[in-house]
Formats: sequence, C-alpha cells, structure tokens
Amino acid sequence: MPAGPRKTTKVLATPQGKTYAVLLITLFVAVLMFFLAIRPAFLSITDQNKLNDEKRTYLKQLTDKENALKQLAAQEARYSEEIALLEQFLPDGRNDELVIANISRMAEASGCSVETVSLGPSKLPTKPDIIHITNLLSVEGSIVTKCSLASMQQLLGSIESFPIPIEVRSIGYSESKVQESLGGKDYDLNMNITYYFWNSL
Amino acid sequence: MSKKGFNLLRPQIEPPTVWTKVYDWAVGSARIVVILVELVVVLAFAIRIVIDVQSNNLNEEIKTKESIVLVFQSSELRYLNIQQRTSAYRDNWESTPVFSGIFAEVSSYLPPGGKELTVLINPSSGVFVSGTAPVAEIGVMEENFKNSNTFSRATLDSIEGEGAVIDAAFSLSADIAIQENREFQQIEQIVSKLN
Repeated sequence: MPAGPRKTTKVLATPQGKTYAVLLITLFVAVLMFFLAIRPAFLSITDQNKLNDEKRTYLKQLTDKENALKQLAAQEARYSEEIALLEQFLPDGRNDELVIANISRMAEASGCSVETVSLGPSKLPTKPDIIHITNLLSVEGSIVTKCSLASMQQLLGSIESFPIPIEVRSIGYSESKVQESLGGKDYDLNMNITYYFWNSL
Repeated sequence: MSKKGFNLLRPQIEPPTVWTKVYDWAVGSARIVVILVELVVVLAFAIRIVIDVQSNNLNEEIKTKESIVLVFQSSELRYLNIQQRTSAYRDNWESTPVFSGIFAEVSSYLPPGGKELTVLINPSSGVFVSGTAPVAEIGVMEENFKNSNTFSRATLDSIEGEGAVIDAAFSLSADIAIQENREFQQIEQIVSKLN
C-alpha cells in the first residue's frame, strides 16, 4: 500500500472523542473558503465602493464648479457695464497716446500748458501692494507743465480723480523765469508719474 | 399479541470506515461551512450589484456635468481675467497716494513775498522748500509747518542774509507724517457720474 493514503487512513481513523483531525480539516477548509471566496468578494465590494467615493468627490467638485460658473455668468451679465468700464480704466496693453491725450486735456482744462511729457519703458510695478500682480505693468514718466498754483492744484485733483490709474510719485515746482499770466505767479511744475496697464498673457 | 424480546448484549456497531467518516464530515461540518460561505458570497454579489448600479449612475452624472463645465471652459478664463483685473485695479487704486491735500497745504504756507521759490514734495523724502523771502514770512512758514499734523520734523535748514536785511535765502525741510491714499469709494462716485 502506498505511504500517502495509508497516512490519511490513519488520520481519519482517529478514535472517537479525539476529533482534532476533523477540527483541523474543517478549519483549513474554512480558511481556504475565506481566502478563495469571502475575501475576494469583500475586496471587490470595498474597492468598488472606494472608486464610487472618489467619483462622488469628483462629482461634487464638478457640481461646485458648475454652480460657481453659473453664478459668475450671472454676475458678468449683471455687471456688464462695470466690466466695460474696467476695461477702459485699466486698458489692456500699453497706450501712451491715451494717457498723454488725457493728461493734456486735464492740463488744458485746469489752465496749465504742457511743455513736455516723457515716458519710460514698461516694467513690473515696485509698489509692495501690487508687486504680486504679474499682469499689471507700469510706465514711469515725467510731465513738465507751466501754470499758477491754483491751476496746479486743479490739475493734481483731476489726475487723482481720473479713473485710469495715474500715480503722482513726486512733485517739484519752482517759479517760472518767464511770467506769462496776468494774475498770480507762473510756476514750472515737474511731476513724476507712473501709469499702469493690464498685460494679458 | 406480539412478543417483546430482550437483548442484554451491548449492540455491536460496525466500526466506521474512512469513507463513512469522510461522508459524515462532508454532510456535517463541511456543509455548514459551505452554506455559510455561499450565503456570504450571495450577499456580496447582491451588494456588488447595488454598488455597480451606483457606479454607473455616477458615471452618467459625471459625464453630464463635464459636458456642462466644458461649455463654460472658454468663459472661465474670461472670468478669471476679470477677477484678477478688478483686484489689481482696486489694490493699485487703494495704494496710490493722494498729493493734492499736501500740495494745497504746502502752497498755503509759502511766503507771499517769496521769490525764486522751489518746492519738492515726495512721500519718501518729504517736503523741501527753498527760495528768498522776508525773514518774518519765513518764520511764519516755519511755524505753520511745525504746527501742522501733516508734517513732522520741520526744520529750517538754512537762512542766509547779511546785516539788517529784510529778505533772506532759506531752505526748509519736513517729513510727511500723514500720507493718505486714494479710497475705492471714489471710483464708485466716478462710475456713478459716468452712468
């Protein structure tokens, strides 16, 4: 008789009351069933559930985005006039002609005569509050005008309330050598200015 | 009437064979294990069906939402640009200093009888005034700068005149103590005027 079956026979022939062999085999089968049937079934459920959770998270993000975009679209429609003004106030691209023309007109309205306007190259702004805005570029320049103190005051006020952001960095004025106006003294005013424009990438 | 018999002998049971034991085990413990496993697998299968249905529904919802978001994709960049531009405009406006108040105050302090007056106003280096004026007027100007809340450390750096002169060359400097910036409300006023 071969050794294998004989050994099995011996194991199964355990006397009554000593059922360790049966217990062990049952446990073995139970463990085998666990690893071959229950565990894969459980994993298949948990894995799919995990995937579903990820899908739900993504769906929530999409829903949030959709709601935000719808809200933005509604706001764009509601504030269309303001947006159009913003595009005028902070023009896209450098436009020296626009700035010079407006300054000249403000100077004329204030009773000042513009003598020279010079503008430098475009560069990133240096003010700490806006240094992080990479789309905003600045142009530094100077304006030399001739007018009375009262006219100068008016010109400054006009520039400061002008919606295109023109910043007066410093002012220097001295009595003009050639006095032209009849009432009051004429001054040569030198303003260092910076104007800003939007640079869409 | 039937007869009742006695058998005082211990019943002799045939010793179980290997196959009998295997059979007993298979219809006993093994059957319970298999049934339990089958129950678990059937339950798992049912749950899996539910989860798969949920997954399919989610896929459909995602597909629908993605197509909606895709329609807005071109607008999204525009919205972002407007937001950044608005923010840049506001930040820039609010960080821009206002000069007209300082200018008006300095101009009002200038000596009326002054000649060759030169004024420099710069937020970082302060105010510098030089020229020629009657001594008394220079004193008044100095006092005005010193008494003003807008300026600090007003100093008459130099005053030059010979003998009992009325006019003297002077230079005065002061720091700007209060530098006001533009307010965004101004823009609202400008916009309301434009509208």
